Amino acid sequence: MRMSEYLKDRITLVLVGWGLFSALFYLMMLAFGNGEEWTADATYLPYDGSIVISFIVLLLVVKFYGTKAFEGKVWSLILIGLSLWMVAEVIWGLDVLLYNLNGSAVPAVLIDNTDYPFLAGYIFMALGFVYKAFNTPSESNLGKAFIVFVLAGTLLIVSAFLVLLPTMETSLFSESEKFFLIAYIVLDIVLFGLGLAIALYWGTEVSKGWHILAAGLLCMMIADVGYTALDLRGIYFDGSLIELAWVAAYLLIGLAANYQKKLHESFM
Amino acid sequence: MATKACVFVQDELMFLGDILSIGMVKKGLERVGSSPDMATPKELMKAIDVHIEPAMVTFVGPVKARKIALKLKDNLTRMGAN
Repeated sequence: MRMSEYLKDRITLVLVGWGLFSALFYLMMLAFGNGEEWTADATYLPYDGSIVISFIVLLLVVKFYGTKAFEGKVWSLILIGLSLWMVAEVIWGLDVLLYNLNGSAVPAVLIDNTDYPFLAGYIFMALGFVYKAFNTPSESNLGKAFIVFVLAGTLLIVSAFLVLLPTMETSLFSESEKFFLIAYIVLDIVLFGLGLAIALYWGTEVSKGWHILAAGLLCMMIADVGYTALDLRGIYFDGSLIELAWVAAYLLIGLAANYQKKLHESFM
Repeated sequence: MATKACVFVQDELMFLGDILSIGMVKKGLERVGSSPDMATPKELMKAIDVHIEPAMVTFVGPVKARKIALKLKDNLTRMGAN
């Protein structure tokens, strides 16, 4: 399948369009919002919208393959992971919405525990990747393995100096907050390494979908590192441009799933 | 109705999902000028070479795709393709 064909696909256009809309929305809120609270709250619309759209795309992809098929099982596990992330993201969005509507909030038991579905989501994502890797045997290639280790290792070292070590040493966060902040970044790097390994071992010609997925996980890592770095310096606020990296991550996961579906449709 | 050899290949590819398995075999046969209801083992072997194996690579990678293709061709040879 040619990239030009894929870019003309309706679902692809929706995902790319939502990304552009989100970027414009964030910039407009920052430029014309005068720092008012409602402008930061409004950014939850494109933000939560991105993960909801990707969730719908993944549902369509799983429906296309069927849950019993090999590729269907891979995307089902990724879908469960993304669903858990979506639950956590939507809880935050609902909290803001309720506050603006009538001054109420989502129950504390939910809002205070959103880190758990986030972490569980990583586990299901990783399971999907591992299942794919184990069922996609490839001849060992030291060069490709080297690229994965160098890239993942470099990201780990950069993250360690930028945020991991400062997070461990700071008194700004509680022990549990530190645990989650560090866990997110480490898991981002692990997932990125797994995704990239599959993309490289699988061959450039057929694995563009996994390259897109690896790019999404890189965006996720940039977002988590950026958020932690800004938070450590006390300059993070809702509606920060760094949030666009999360938006990009969610949309790229949807684009990757849709690419695989379109690719396999082209063989029928 | 699909020929015995065609049903055999479709069944072997069911791990990809029924819609994809049937669709891939049908398109592969079309590319070699045949169809599921008249496909001979020989035509299926050609379809594997030109379409089915390259398609399988995108699911399970080149190593496993080759292994499955060889197994299919081996069975098709026994069914009369030569």
